[in-house]
Amino acid sequence: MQQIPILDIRDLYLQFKAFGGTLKVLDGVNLKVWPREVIGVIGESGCGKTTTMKAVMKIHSQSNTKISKGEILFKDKDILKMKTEEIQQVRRTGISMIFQDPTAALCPIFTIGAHLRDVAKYSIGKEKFKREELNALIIDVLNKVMLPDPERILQNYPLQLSGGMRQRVCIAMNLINNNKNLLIADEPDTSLDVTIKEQILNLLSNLVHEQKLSLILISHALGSVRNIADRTYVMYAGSMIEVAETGELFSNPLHPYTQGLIAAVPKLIGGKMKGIDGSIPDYFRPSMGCRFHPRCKFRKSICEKEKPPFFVVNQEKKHEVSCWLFQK
Amino acid sequence: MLENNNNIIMSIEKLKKYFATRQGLVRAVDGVSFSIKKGEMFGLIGESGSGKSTVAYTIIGMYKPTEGKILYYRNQDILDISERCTSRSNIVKKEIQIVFQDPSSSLNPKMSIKQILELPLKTHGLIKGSNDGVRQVEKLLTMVNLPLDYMYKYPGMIGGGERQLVSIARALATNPSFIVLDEPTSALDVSIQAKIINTLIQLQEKLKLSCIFITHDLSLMRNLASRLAIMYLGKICEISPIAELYTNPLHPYTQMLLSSIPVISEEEEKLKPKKIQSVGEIPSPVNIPSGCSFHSRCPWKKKICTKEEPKMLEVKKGRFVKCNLYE
Amino acid sequence: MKREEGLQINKFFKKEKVKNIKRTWYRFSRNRLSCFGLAIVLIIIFSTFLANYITPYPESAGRYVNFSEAKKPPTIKHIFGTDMYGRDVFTRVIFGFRYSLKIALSVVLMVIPVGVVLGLTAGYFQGTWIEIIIMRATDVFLSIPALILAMAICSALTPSLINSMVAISLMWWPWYCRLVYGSTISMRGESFVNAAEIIGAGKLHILFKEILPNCIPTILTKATLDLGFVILMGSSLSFVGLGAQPPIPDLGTMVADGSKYLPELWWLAVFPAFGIVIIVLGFNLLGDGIHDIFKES
Repeated sequence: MQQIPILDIRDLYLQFKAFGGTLKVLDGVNLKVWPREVIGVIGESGCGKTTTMKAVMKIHSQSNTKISKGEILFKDKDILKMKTEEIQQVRRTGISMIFQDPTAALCPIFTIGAHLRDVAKYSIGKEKFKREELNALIIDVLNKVMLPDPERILQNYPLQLSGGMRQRVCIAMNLINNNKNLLIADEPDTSLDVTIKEQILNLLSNLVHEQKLSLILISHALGSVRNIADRTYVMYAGSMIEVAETGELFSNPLHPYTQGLIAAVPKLIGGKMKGIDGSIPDYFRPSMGCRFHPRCKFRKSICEKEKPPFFVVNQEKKHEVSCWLFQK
Repeated sequence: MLENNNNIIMSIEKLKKYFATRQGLVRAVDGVSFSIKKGEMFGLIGESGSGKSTVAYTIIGMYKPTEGKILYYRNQDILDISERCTSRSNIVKKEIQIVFQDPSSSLNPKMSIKQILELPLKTHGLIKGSNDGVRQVEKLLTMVNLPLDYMYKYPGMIGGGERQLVSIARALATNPSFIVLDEPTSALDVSIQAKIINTLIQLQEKLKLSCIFITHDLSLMRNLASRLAIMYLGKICEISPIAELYTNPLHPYTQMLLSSIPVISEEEEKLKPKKIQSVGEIPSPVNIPSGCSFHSRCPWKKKICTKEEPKMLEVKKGRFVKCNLYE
Repeated sequence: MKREEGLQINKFFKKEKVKNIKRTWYRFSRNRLSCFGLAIVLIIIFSTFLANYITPYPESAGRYVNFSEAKKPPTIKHIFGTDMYGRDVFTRVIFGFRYSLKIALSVVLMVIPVGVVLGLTAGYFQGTWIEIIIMRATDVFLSIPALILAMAICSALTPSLINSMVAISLMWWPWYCRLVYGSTISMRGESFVNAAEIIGAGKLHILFKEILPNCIPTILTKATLDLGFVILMGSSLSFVGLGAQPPIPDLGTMVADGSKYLPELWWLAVFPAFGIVIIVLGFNLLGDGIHDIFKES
C-alpha cells in the first residue's frame, strides 16, 4: 500500500496584520513527514518555524492572522478546513506539541499530578478511570521519561523542579495518550544546560522509536538535530530552502545560506567563525524572488525576480535545494 | 597563582559569596582563586548553578564578597576592590566594565541609543563642549560597525545582535582596561554570534583589553580564549591553557562536558573524549554534596571523594586540577 | 560635511518621532470603545470651555430665579427641563462638568508628584528605615475607608469645593506611592539599572532617568482612570453636602437636591446623574485605550 505522509504542508502562505501593514511571514512552506520519521527543522529566530507549527496546531489568534494560500494535510485531511470539534480530536489523538520554555508551559499553581490527570482526562476521553488505574498510568509515563521517584514528583509544584525535569514532565504529558501519531518539539533543549540537553534529546529519540511516532524537532542549534534527525529541513525567512538526509546535509550543504550557517558555528577544531552579511528581510516589504538574494554572494539576475522551486540534487539521499544555482 | 606578577591585571583570591535564602544558605561561590593576565581573554565555563555569573557580578561590584579578595593591578599599584561598585573610586569604575547577557533588558527601553552611550561619558566628565557628545557617540558606533543613524533609535527597534553591539560600545565608552563579558551571545543566533565574536576579537586586539568571558559553550571558547577555568557548584575544577584542555581534559567533569558537546561533523566527533553518560541532575546549590561536590555524578569516584574535599594541585606548569584522582 | 550629516540625522530624528506618534495612534484606535471614550472626553472638554457660548441659558449657572419657568418638564425650549428656581437643567449640567473636570485635574495633578516621588524613594531604598516610614504611612492612609476620611476632613474644615479637593487628595496619594513602589522594586533588578550603577550614575539619575520613564505607562493609565473616579468621589461628597456649596452647579449637589423631588420632577435628578455616568464612563474607556498603547503586542 502506498504510504501517505503523516503531515504534508503544501505551499503555506501566512500573514499577520500589524502597524505598518501586513507581515508576510510564511512564504510558501513545504514540509513532509512520513510515518516513524524524525525530521529536523533548522532556522534562526524570525524565520517562521514556530509560526508554521502553530498553524499546524491551529493555535494562532484568529483576529490578525490570515492564511492566504496552502494546505496542511494531516493523514490526507486538510487541517485548515476542519471544524472546531475535528481539530480538537486531532489535538487529542493526532498531533501534540512540546514548547520551548518548560517553565512557561506548566501552570505554577497546580501540582504535576494535577497537570497529568488533566491531560489524561482530556486526551484519553470521557471513559471513567478509577483513581488507581489513572495513577498507575501516570506513574508509568513518568518512569518512561526517566524521572526518579515519580510518587514524590506528583506532589511537587513546577517551580520545585529543575529545568530538565520540567521538560521531562512536558514530554510525559504528550505520551499519556498512546494513539498519537506526531510529536512536534519546538526547541525543547534551548533553555537547558549542555549535559541535560543531551539527555533530553536522547530521551525524545528513544521514546519516538519505542512508541512508533513521528517527530518534528525544531532548533536553531545545528548540533541538536544532527544526532537524532533522519531528514533535516533548513528554513529561512518563511520558506524551506533545503532538505536532505541529515548526514548528507551537514557534510554537503548546497544552499549559500546553509553553507553560511555551518561556517558560523563555532567548531571544536578551532578556526575562525564567519558571519553572514546583511540581516533578515523586512517582512513588511520582503524582496521579490528569492528572499535570501540580498545577502547572497552568488546571486544572479533571476534570483531577484522569481522564487526558485525545489530542484532535486540527489534522489537517493533525498537532497533538494530551492536555489537557482542548481537549476538543470 | 602566577609567578610573574608584572603580567597580571586582576587576581581573585579565595572568593566566597553566600546568599541567605528561605531554603537555606546558598553557597554560590565557595572559595575560587585565579588570575588574569594583561591583554588575555580568560574563559570561565560552567553550567547553571555553577556560580560563574556570581563571580562576574562580584568582580564588577554588584555584590560584595562574603569572604576573599579581588585585587586590581593598576600600573604600579595593587588596589583591593572587594566592595560594591557604589563604594569604589571613580577611576576603578571607569576602567572595569561589563557587558550583560540579555540584550533586551540591559538597555533602557525608554532611552535612545545616543542617551545610552552618552551616560558613561557624562558621568565621568568626558564630554568637552556641546558637539563633543555627538562626535564621541559617532566614534563609538563606528568602532562596533553600526550605522550612525542608529543614534536616535530606541533599543526596541533594533535586533538582539545590534543591541549587544550597543552594550559593547557602552562598555568601551570610558576606555576601560578590563571588561567582564557575561554570556554576551547566549541569547543570539549562530550567524549573529559569529559577527559579535569577530567584532569582540578585533576590538580586544586593537585596544589591548583584558577580558573574562563567561559562558557554558565550550565550542565557542575553543576559538576565543587563551586560558580557561571550569566551575562546578561554586568551585573551580580545573584551570588550563586552552589547547591542552581540549586535547587532554583532566577533571572528570571537564571530560563529561566535552563529551556532551553537540558537534556537526565527524572530524569534531573524533576529537571529543570518550563518551561519559552524564547521570542524574545537577544538585541544588542549597544542598551541596559533602567532600568533592561532583562525586554524585562521577563515574570514577573513590571512597575518599565523599569525605574529603580535594585540594587544587598544579599538575603541570599552568595546569591546575581539583580532583582526588591526581593526588 | 559634518553639518550636512548633522542635518540628515536631525531629519531622521523627526521622522522617527512622527512614526512613533502614528504607531501610538494605531495601537489606540484598534479598540473601538476607547475611541468612543476619547470622543466623549473631548466633547465634554470642548463644551466646558465654550460653556458660556453654547449653552442656551448661561445665566442659569449662577444666582437666577424665574418662577414662571420653574418645574417645567423637558421640552424643546428646555431640553432637560427646569429646576425649582426656573434654571435650565441642561445649562447647569454643562457648567457642572466644568467643576467636575476642575476637581479631577487638580486632585490628580497634586497627587501624582507626591505619590511618585515617595514611591520611587521607598522602592530604591528598600530595606532601610526610609522605606519603612513611607510604606507604613501609606498603609495607614489606605486602611481608612476613603469616603469616611474625606467626609471627616471636609466636616472639620468648612465644606467647599477647594476643601473637598484637599480631602480627596489626602486619601488618594497612597495609591500612586504603592504603584510606583511596586514598579521600582521590580525594575531594580533589571540589567539596565545595574549597568547604570556600574557606570557610576548617581542615585537621582537612576531614579528619575532610568526607573521613572519605565513607570510612566502604569502611572498614565491609572491617572486617566482616576480622573473618572475622583469625579465620582467628589460627586459623592457633594451629595452629602460636603462639597461645592450652592449656587455652584455641581453634579452631585444637583442629584442630591433633585432626589427630593422624585418621582414627579424626575428630570431634576436623572439628567445630572446621567452626566456623572457619561463623564466617568468616558474616562474609563479612555484609560483602557491608554493601557492598550503601552501593551507590548
